[in-house]
Amino acid sequence: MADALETLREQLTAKLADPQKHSSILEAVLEIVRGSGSKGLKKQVQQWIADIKAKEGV
Amino acid sequence: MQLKGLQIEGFRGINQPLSVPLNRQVIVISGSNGSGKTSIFQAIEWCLFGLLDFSGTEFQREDAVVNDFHSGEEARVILTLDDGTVITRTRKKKARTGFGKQDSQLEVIQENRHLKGEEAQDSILDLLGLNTEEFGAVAHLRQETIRSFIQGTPAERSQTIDKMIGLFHLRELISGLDPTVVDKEVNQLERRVADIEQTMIQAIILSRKMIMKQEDALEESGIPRERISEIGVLEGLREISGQLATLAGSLGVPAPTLDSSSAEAARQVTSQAKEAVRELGERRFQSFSQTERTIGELTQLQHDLERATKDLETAAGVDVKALITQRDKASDRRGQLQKRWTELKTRSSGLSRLQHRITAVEAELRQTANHLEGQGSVKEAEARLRKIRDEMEIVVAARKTARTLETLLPAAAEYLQVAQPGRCPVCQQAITDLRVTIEHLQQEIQASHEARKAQELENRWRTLKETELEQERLVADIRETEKQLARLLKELEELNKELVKVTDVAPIEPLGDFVAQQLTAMAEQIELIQQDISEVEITVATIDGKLRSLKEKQEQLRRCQERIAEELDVPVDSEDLLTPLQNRVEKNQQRLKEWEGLANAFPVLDRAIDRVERILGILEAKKRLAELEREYPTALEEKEALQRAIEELNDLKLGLQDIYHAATEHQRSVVGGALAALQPIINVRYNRILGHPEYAELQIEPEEEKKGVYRYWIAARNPAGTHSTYIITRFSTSQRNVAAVAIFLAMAEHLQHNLNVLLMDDPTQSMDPEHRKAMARFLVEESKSKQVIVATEDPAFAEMIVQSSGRLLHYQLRPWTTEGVALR
Repeated sequence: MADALETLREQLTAKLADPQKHSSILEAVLEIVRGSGSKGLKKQVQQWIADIKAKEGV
Repeated sequence: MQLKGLQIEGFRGINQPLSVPLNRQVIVISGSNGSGKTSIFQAIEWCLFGLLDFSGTEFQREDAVVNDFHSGEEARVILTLDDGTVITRTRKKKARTGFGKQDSQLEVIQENRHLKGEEAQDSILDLLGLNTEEFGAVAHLRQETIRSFIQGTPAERSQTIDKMIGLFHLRELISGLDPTVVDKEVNQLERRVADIEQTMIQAIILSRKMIMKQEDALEESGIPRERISEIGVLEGLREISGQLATLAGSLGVPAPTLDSSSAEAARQVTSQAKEAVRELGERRFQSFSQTERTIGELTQLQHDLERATKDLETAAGVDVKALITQRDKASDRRGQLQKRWTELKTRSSGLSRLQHRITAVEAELRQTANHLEGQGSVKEAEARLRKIRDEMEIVVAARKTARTLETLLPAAAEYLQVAQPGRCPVCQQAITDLRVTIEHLQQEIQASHEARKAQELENRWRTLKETELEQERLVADIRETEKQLARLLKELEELNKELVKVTDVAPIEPLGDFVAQQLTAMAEQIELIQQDISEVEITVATIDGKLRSLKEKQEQLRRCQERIAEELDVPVDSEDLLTPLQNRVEKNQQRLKEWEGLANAFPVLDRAIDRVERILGILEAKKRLAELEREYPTALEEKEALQRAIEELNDLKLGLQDIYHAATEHQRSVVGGALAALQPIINVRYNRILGHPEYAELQIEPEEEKKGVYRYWIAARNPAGTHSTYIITRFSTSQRNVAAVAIFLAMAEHLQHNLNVLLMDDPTQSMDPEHRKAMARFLVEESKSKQVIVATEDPAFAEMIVQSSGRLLHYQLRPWTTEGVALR
């Protein structure tokens, strides 16, 4: 099944408009989905936003 | 990978330690509802993943994983796998906190490695090739999965299928990935940037422009630029203070105190100055109005005095004494006239009464006289009476003779018939003679006095008798009438006398006319007297009016004098009140001019205050500008940081959008493909258990409700493809149950993973005996390639599996107690 997730990553990467730029985000997203599902992903997106804001001090 | 053994303690319904060996291909756990079957399955899932995936929010909020009655308040599950791996998960009870894998302690002993925490969890995921959602799709057929097929809403069924066909990752990804969240943040930061630009940069530019404009305007109004300073403000305040003092002095009020020594308090001082100007303005207005009212009142007094004096002077020519005498005479005359009037009225009413009486008596007299005239005199009546009586005597004699003859003649005739010739013994006449006489008489009687004649005489007598009585009544009546006539005449005589008394003149016949004439004359006299009285009353009223008017004028003059004396504060009996009154009016007019003159001071003050305020406004604006300019570099830095953050967030947003679009696109293509691949496997399983006799093929039809969210319609058709239906509309609960199990088993076969186990919690919950039997046979068949662990509350189904399988473990659970679950 872990292979299935890997397959999904490959399939989604192939469909990305800018795979070079966004494949790393995709990988992170899939990892989060695997670990904590949609709720975890929602939290993570919020966390990313918070990290960016904190980094720029805004 | 299969399960070898399970030890549970303090977990959900299981209190005391429970050891469940699992080293067989088929394991049946049977027991009544609530005996703890599901707890055993949940213990396996929780031990592996630390979660109970299906459980809702309420369950997660509750600390329900730990048994309420466990002495150690701890849940512990140890799962042994057939490769020797031992997984131990424990959790201490907490007071109503959250529930999740992070709250439990996990240990994994695997090939001499002792792992804990996340490392241990990762090793389990790697070992099984499954996460908790996948576990539910391919290894653990939960009761909820079957129920959603049998009873659930279309949305619930769709979600279950989505999970079962392996789209849970994609679904979770799409559901958790919302690029608009980043968009909102970007918008928020962009608003902040705009805010900074507006508040800082634009504010600085606008502020500079405004200050220049205001300075130009002040310069144009005659204030040099060098005065736009704190010194200029203080000078302006001193100027205002001086003007206020002068104005206050003119108004006769204390001068307001203004502190014009400090520029810091200038704004406050200008407010005080404005307030003072307002108060002085009100004061001036009040004084002005008061003076105006005073002048008006004094002028009115002056006018009143002049008019009252003039009126009195005019009235001085009137002879009051003569007027009073004249009025008294008129009053006397009015008294006399009224007396005469009353007397005439009394007499007139007496005369009227007499007139009525006289009229009545005269009428009665006329009636009586007429009556008497019709009856004739008493003598005539008596003569007629005597004549009647004479006649009556004759008639009576005739009646007597006739009656005698009528009696005697028949007797004589009878005697003569029987008597012998000879003489009458009475009269000694010869009988023959008598006979002749009698015959003669008889003939005479026969001739003149027949029986009818006697009757006539009788009638005649009666008539005469009645006439006699009538004549007697007539005589009496005439006598009575004569008496009445005499009485009336007497009364008339008395009325005549009374009339003389009333009219003072001798009455003239006829009396009625005389009285009418007298009444008319009397009415005329009364009318004349009435007119006289009215004239006299007018005269009296006119004189009274003149006298009253004179008195009022005197009173007016007195009051006017009193008011003037009071106003001027001089004695009321002063000889000349008019001159000091005029002086007072002139004085007040002078004051009024002064108040008017003061009005010009207010605009001057207003302008002075306005100038100070404008200077202050410019100084404050300059101060704010300086602050803005000081803050500008910091704001610029903040703006740049915000712009960088926006840029990064936009990058993130683009990335998430890219992934989201890829995921939804992929899901769209996968749904069709996955279902197409699953379809034959599902139908094989479906028919191996026991499908519908007619609709032997199941078909899952996807419909994309909105982007990334699918709804599935589970249809069934006959092999020829001529008939189809939705299972929810046509299938029995038993058949729907079979469909759910078939889809689950197809997924378990379709997706690759390392856990070669089927956990089936009450898979025949709605099945009839025939389907249960088929299911038992099928599971035993499946156990050849997989470990099958089945929980059921149906002893017959358990027995069917036992009968079908040669080598299996069958655990029977006793009814639940607080001590927990017991195996048999």
